[in-house]
Amino acid sequence: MRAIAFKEWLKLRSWLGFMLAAHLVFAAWLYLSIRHQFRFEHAEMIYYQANHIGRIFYDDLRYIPLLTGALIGAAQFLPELLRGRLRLSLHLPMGLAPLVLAHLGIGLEALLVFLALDLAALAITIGSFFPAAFIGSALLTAAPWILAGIAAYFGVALTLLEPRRRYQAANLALSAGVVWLCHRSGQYQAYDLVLGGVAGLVLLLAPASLQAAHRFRNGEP
Amino acid sequence: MTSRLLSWLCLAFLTVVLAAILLPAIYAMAFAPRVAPTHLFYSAVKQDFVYREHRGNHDFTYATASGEHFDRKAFEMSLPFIYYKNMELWGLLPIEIDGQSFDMQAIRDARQVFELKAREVADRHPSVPVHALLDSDPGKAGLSFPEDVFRMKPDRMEFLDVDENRVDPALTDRFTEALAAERFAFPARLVAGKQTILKPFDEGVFLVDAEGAVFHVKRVGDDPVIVRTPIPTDLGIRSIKVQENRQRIYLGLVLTVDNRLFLLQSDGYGLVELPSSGYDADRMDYKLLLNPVHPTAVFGDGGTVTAVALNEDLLPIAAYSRAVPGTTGMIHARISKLLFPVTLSLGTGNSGYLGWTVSGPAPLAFLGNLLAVGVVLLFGRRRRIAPQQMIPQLALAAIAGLYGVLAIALLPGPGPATGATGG
Amino acid sequence: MTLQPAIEVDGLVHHYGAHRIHDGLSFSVAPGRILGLLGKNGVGKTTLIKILMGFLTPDAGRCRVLGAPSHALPAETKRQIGLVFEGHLAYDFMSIEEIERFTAQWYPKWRRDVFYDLVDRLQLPGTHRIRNMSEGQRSQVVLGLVMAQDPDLLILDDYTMGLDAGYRRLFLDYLVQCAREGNKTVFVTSHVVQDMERLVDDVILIRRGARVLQSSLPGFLSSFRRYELPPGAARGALPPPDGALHRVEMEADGRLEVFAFKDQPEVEAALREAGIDPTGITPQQMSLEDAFVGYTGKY
Repeated sequence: MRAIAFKEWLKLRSWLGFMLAAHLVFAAWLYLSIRHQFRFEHAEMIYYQANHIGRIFYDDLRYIPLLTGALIGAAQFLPELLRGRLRLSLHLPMGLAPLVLAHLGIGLEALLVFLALDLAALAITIGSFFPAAFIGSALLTAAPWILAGIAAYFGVALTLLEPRRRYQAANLALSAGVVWLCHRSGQYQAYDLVLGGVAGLVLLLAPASLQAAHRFRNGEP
Repeated sequence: MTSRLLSWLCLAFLTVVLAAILLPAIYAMAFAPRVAPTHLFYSAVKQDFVYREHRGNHDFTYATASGEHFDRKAFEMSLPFIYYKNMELWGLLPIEIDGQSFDMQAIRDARQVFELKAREVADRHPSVPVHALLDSDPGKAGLSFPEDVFRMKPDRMEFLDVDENRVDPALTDRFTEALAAERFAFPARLVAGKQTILKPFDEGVFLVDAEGAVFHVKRVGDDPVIVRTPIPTDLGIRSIKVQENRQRIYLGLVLTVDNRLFLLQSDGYGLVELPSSGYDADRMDYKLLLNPVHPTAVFGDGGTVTAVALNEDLLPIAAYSRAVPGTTGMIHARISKLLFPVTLSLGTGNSGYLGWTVSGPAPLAFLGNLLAVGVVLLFGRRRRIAPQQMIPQLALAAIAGLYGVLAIALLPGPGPATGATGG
Repeated sequence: MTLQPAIEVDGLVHHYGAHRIHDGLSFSVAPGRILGLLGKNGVGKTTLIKILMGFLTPDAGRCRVLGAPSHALPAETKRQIGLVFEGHLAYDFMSIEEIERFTAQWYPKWRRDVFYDLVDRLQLPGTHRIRNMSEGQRSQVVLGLVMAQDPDLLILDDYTMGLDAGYRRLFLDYLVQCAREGNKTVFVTSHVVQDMERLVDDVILIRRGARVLQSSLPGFLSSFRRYELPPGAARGALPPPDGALHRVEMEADGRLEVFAFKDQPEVEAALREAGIDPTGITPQQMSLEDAFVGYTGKY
């Protein structure tokens, strides 16, 4: 397990560094863009727009988790799949299931670190300019976006691990469908009552990665 | 082996869920005609309920409850308090009804509309519990937002300076003490007000305290004006919609948890109960049309619409309900029921929150599922797979019909593809 | 001393769709032997290697590697098997030092000295990334890794691909030396048949639609013969392959080449029977490559 983590770190470190930089730049952008609004408009009008008109001042965040998830998935599994390099990993003296789960666990962990970073940036930014009640609202609004990021990660892993084109296409379509479900509303906190269900659907993408790896190893048609 | 089945089940379930959302939606987008909702009113001219009904493709019906049909213009002429602008254009004003004459100005002055949509009910849409308390006596034309907001804390009404995003202790103390003086029991259950400056005047906010008592809180300058209203504490208030109308007779609507609806009077905070038999605040929009004569309450959802005609004391004199034709019964809807065993949607409907809605299964879906099982059996036969080796697939087709077949076609199967032995 | 074969294939069947690649393939490899798998393109060499490496589950039949089913190897067995993939696959995002550190964690018998003995010859810094190496340099790293792993069985899929003569020779010599010293079993395929002569003890030859031929290398080279007949020897049609004579082919200049597992007198008799005049027949020297082509045919 530590060896796998070491390998993933070597593989991903330059990507992770790049993504960390990108997320920090984004966090700064988010903070500055909201500060800019508060400097040019009256705070009470901004509160009114946020609460009653439903304007989402942090809307730029919406697709960031999605991109992050897809990118981590691609950075992690594309190098393994190019020229069938996954065979190297599959021959490591370790069971297939622990191997795949270790990879997914590490990728997911990296993704969650970035997502936590995004949420922290959101909470700090909103908390700096809005009353505390807006923080919870913003986090709840961003929750389905976060789920979309996780779905994108699982989806990319599932799609890349699958050896057969037609099933790859099906996996991609299913993942895209789940991501779509996470972006069904542009209203704040619209997902409050369905977060659990949507999260459940996102998690349903996970076990199939194991199956795809099985099929890869068995060279199944 | 079991992990294989588990993976398959997970993806098959996902496929079915997505297909149950997308396929019917795409089908409806392609084939369903647009159907407008039914409009139902009480006509003071006809002394009868009149309605406009739509069956798709510009097929409108205008008629009275007793069966008299007419055209659109006659329909509008039967509702002079609604279509008074057209009436004026056609030179039909003033009009005499019940021995009273009404010109444009008289109609305009008397008319008030109070509406409570399902999504406006306090707990049916998200909101951030931060509110503005406007200065209701600004001493100038037009209202403006104050540079502070308040939130109800467990033990105080806390004001925040918006420029600093910091608590304003002075204002907080002043309002909290004023509430305490009126025996307000923290924490507050409900805060209701119309948070806008686009209204003729400001009536502040209504607070429901922990014991159910209703307080009217206004602000003059930075001073609180607080009234403990005589509204009974055991009313079970669910939502209050404040509506500042120029006439200043009513302050808005009060909804209780048992779906009773009241008009809140400005004078002494009296409650006037409105007809609510058959009304369900979670599904229906409610509209009260205060016409010069025969005020009417109308409420309904996509399935039925009900109108209750009232006298000048807002007591019911006649009621009429009508099923909304919608698209049921149309060919495309029947095919849809055969194709799609159930329809799932993740939408806001008449709420501010997304929710899952499942409709079906219709009886016809049984036939569709049977067909799906047949397709799977046929598919297995062509691939020389014995039915007992396809139990998961057959079960899926039987439960999920077309969606199940789609999942079976798209996904790698739940069983092993090869039969090699290790030794 | 042999308890069980290192590789045991029995009645192996595999299809791709309707296309049957292997139909009842059987052979076994004794421990400590170096064996070359030879066959033309498309006869299922790659399929067989994939099955042996555990990346393809056969449709039917047994395929056991170090006693375990090849498509479900337990971790302990995997530890005893070293794989070299076609194109010398390696985690190319790692540097020399990193890949050594990574791989060492998996193998208790890890021999760091063996790895660096081989890799130091490249004279590259330890921080040099594999993705920046030439194919030859990478093959050296891959060989170093698999040798440091100290496995009982090595399976190499076309290790020659992309290597120039120098690196090929280096790879080969090192492989032979290590295998002999460590009494390892080696199963290897290669496009360059002539290399096999330096390497293998045994050969397995597969031909489409025929039984596999498994033999020691000297045994094969001494029993499989080539004879030449002057132009004009054959007047009618040539006899079909796999009869009394293994194969008779007409060269561009009209000479006949005859391949057979037979002595000259038997060949002459068989030629006469086929209506070919054996006058002027001369036995020819053959390299393994000549024998391979003669055995499997040019087309």
